[in-house]
Amino acid sequence: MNSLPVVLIYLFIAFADIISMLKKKEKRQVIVYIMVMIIPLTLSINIAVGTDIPSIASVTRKLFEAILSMIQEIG
Amino acid sequence: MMNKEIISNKQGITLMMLFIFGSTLVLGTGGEAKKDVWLAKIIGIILAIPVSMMYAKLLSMFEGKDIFDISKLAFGSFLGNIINLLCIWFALHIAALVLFSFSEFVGIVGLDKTPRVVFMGSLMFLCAWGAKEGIEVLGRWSEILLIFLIFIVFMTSTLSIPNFKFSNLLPVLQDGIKPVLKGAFSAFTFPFTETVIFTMVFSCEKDKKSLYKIYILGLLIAGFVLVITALRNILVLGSYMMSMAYYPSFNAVARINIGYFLQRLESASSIIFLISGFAQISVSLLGASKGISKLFNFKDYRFIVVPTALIVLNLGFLVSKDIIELTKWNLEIFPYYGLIFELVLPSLIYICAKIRYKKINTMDNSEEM
Repeated sequence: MNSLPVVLIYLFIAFADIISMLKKKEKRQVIVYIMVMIIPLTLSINIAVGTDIPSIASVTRKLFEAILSMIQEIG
Repeated sequence: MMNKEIISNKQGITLMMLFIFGSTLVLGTGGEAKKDVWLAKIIGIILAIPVSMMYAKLLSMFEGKDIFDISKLAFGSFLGNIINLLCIWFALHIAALVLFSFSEFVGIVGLDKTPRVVFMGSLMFLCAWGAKEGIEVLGRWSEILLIFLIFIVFMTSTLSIPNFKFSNLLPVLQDGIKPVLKGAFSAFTFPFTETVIFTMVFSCEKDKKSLYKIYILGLLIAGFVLVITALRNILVLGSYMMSMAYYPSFNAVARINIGYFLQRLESASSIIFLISGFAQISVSLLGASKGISKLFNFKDYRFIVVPTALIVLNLGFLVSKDIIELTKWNLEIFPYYGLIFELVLPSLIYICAKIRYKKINTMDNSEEM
């Protein structure tokens, strides 16, 4: 239920943008727009639902610490 | 609909300056150097000059083309698009980092019970508007707003003079040169070479020298202002307080008290953060939008600005858990992480483009004929 307002907001934004694109007969733009819009929509639903997503800082930290320790071992 | 957007050298320099200020004016950088942070920043600026010249040279080699077009020309469509994806990611990440820092700052110093989505959403709405209007509007906007920002920085620095303790600066190089070099490396990647994002936004027209002017003057003047603020912070707070504070500029300005009349000027720090943060997010958003549109071979980027802004808004919630994690990450990981996008990738594109430069030029000329 938490994600319903999120979906509605996204639909409203997308509708407003797509209408102006369709008026100009830019169908390819509409397809790309919808494809890109799916990324924030998925993220927003996950955030709204409360899915445990690791932060970018923690992911990059793990990655870079491993690389740096490997470099140190080689050095 | 595709308009050619042209900005003057002055607008380019002011936009570059605001971009460099970004979150640095409030968050600070090069903290590893402690009381020698001003020295670390000067070394960081010196290190960033050749890299900035490389960015300008890269753009001036190909008239009317940005880094996305150049990487496609240098590496071919497939590999070029993979590199472009990495550049887009970096622009999105920088925008999200500034947005997160801004929301944490407002949440900590002022509106602690307001949901973060309110500040982030309102700022993102304005940034998307700015990016949709294009680089010309952002350039004109920056020309006007920079005056206020510089005035606030110098006014707060002047009014802080009664709080200066010159013993805070001495002895210079107390812990040796190593922490200073670490701080310089940190300042080099954040914020001085973050200007790589301008290679996604700018493209060179007839006057090839103007890009060099924009890059070098923007870097030097912004660097000078950052050194002044670092000196002010260290003179007012001292190295211990500065290492403890998450927002050293805010804390230093909060101590201004001229005859119990001129006080509580820390709100000026918030204005600085808002102005420079807006510029940095808008330019990064513009770069990312241009990249995404070029990935799908579109000439106009405006239609994709809103979804890109929404991606940034969501990433703003995911960049870090809190300001403590972000500060540690900025100190320990960002210098290496940033180096990949700010030095390694552009150098790779530059070298490859330089090797294929003649070949590409002859191909372009034959196509025109």
